[in-house]
Amino acid sequence: MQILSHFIFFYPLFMAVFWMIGAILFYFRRERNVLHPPVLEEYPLVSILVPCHNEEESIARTILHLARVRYPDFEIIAIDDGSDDNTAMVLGRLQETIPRLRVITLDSNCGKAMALRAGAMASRGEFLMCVDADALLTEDALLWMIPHFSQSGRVGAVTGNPRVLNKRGLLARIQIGEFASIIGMVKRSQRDIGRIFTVSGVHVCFRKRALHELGYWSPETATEDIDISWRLQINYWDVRYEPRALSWILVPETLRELWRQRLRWARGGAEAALKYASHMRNWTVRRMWPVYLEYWVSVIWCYAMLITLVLFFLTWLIPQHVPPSLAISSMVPQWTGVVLALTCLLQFAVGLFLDSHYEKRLFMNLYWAIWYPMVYWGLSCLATIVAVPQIIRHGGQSARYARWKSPERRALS
Amino acid sequence: MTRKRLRAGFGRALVLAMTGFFWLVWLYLLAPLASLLLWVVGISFFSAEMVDRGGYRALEQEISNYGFVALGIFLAVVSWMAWNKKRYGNRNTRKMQPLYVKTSELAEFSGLQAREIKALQQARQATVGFDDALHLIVHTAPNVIERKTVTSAVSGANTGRSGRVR
Repeated sequence: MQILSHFIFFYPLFMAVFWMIGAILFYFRRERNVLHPPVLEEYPLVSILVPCHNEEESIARTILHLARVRYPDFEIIAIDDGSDDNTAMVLGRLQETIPRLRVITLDSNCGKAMALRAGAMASRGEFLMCVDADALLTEDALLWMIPHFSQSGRVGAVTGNPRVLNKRGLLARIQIGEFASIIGMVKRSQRDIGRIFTVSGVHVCFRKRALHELGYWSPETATEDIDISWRLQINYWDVRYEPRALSWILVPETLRELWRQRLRWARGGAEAALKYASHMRNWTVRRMWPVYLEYWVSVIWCYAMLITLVLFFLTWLIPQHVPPSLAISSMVPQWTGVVLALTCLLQFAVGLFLDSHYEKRLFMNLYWAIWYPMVYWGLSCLATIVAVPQIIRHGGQSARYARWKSPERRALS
Repeated sequence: MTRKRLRAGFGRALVLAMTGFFWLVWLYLLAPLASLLLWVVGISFFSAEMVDRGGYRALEQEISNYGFVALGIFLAVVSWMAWNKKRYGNRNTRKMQPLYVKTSELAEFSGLQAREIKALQQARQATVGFDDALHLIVHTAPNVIERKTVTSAVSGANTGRSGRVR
């Protein structure tokens, strides 16, 4: 029990240290002194793909933002994935005023992966910028992302830095802290070690050649972004993180939607880890090993946490029936708790400091960050516990989850 | 004040209070540190508690263990980064930019004719679908993009040559 207890408390502690060290190194190596996007000799045509399904409320805002992107040569392709609301009508109206906008309509709802595939076939650019229908891309995002492809022929994808737009409500505020103190730091530190667990599907730019070699996005996956990230990297394409390429996104505002999102993410992670397990035996994909190992250790941690909690409650409720070797009388970790609490606060501070360069008054959200351990480690842990057996039962695939649905969100003023 | 506004105010207060509660839980984790500080200012005999009873040694041990692991993580990350840079950073086997994907390649992948792909790429509006084998079916692609809007955009794309983007 001592080993289990140490693992429960030390794993998040050491991961927090790893993320902080990685993120700080990334900041000093790649972020601090680069204030303007590199100037290219030639700006290749970029096709911006916007898959949408029943997005009548948000699509106009997204497209109008995209039309204002500061990049010399781009087209916007909205892919209407069998919407049964007024999305098609809104897109038709937008086409009257935005000449760059093209609309591809799918005759039925095929899911995001297939919508993107249709968009890729219709695109003329070699670089495909995929943007969610409710995300607002900042004007210079492409200027930051495209140079990565020019710098190296190995780069297959560049993922950006999503920021939370809807700041009302507790869940949204918690996610602001999460995006700053965890997602941004994880991506920075993973970029340092050379492999990224997943691109942010909300806005990511791909090289069409890389996608073509891999057969584009797979429809038989819960999260097409995790799947494509793993396939790219297993096939020796690099995935890069560009923190200066921002987009504003809407995050779930209800617990039900947040749970649904986290469960989908957990399924996607489990799917990728099982589907590509055999590749990990290959010495040539050794750069993926740290990411792969970290994933499975985090899964083990989730189950260890569950076992610890069950034993704690059993010890509390029926102490006479719990063998002394399994009894857990206290969950308070003494001095380790002090270190854990201080590390947690330090992690918030580092994450918010790094991202405060891109978002003013971010430190104002530190007050809400205290929820993060419960939401991130709690909700994600629960989602993993539920998702992993589901995916194993379905033989490593979740085709029935492939069709997506936009989360319920309040309209923005 | 309306009932709706009252309810919203109550919700905000509840959320604020709950967040405050979690900060208190966080502070509770610092209880040993707080007690240590209290001993220092003389509420009790610091030396008796922390030295004689070994409280200081426990903290020292904790920080020492933790510090070594943190140092280990730092060294591991830096070594891995340095190895990555040495092994992959300077040995890029893809010296040239990869070739752009040609229309014929897209046609082969999608199950369409090259001219159908070209028509789709030129269409401002198109309706498409997928068959059971996930091959693309173009139902309608009537509105070809006006030439003036795409002249600059087309250049360089689908030419099958290296991108010349440095």
